[in-house]
Amino acid sequence: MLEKIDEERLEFVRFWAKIVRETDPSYWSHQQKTLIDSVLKSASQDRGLYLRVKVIARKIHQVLRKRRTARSENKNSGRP
Amino acid sequence: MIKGFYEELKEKGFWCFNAQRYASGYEYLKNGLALRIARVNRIIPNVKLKCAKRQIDFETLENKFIVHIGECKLYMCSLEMCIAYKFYLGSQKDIEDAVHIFCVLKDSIKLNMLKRYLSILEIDYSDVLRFLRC
Repeated sequence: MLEKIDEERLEFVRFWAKIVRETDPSYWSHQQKTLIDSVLKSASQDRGLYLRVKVIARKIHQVLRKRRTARSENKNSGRP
Repeated sequence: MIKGFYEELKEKGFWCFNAQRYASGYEYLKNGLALRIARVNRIIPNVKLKCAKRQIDFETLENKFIVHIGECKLYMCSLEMCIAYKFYLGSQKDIEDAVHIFCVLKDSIKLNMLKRYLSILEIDYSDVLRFLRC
């Protein structure tokens, strides 16, 4: 999981965090509120779909965690 | 007790949408699953409610802090725990959240606490360090 991180997206997060730290909250908080309100407004409220997606996400996460644990154990035991 | 909780949720305009009856809600919690609670007939946004079970759950409850929003109080887990748990989840979005919290609040973050929580979650601190720069 941690190996496949898109650095460009992370750089944007750092850029935005810098704006949050260095400018007055009145500058960025309205932009952030508009964005969050819009996301909530357009979010699907389909209960069945949401729960199905969560089940799939949980399964994917379990598989990825198993892989990560196996990699970590191999690393600790010196295996390739 | 859970029946009263369900009644209070309904009274305040919320519902538990993955276990709509209190009996199934009880079964969920008993089996270590989380209840999802949102405003009635809505799904997003929602909160997850589950019973503390693992060491990390109890640590989180013990080291919570309070955010005052007007007259309301919001209990939050420590910043170090937020970051460590995001790395535990490990998706692109989770890592972005962790980096955001770290970069905005880096002066308040205690690295020894972060190391401790990462170690409880069995995450290598050196793996995390490459992301934690601002």
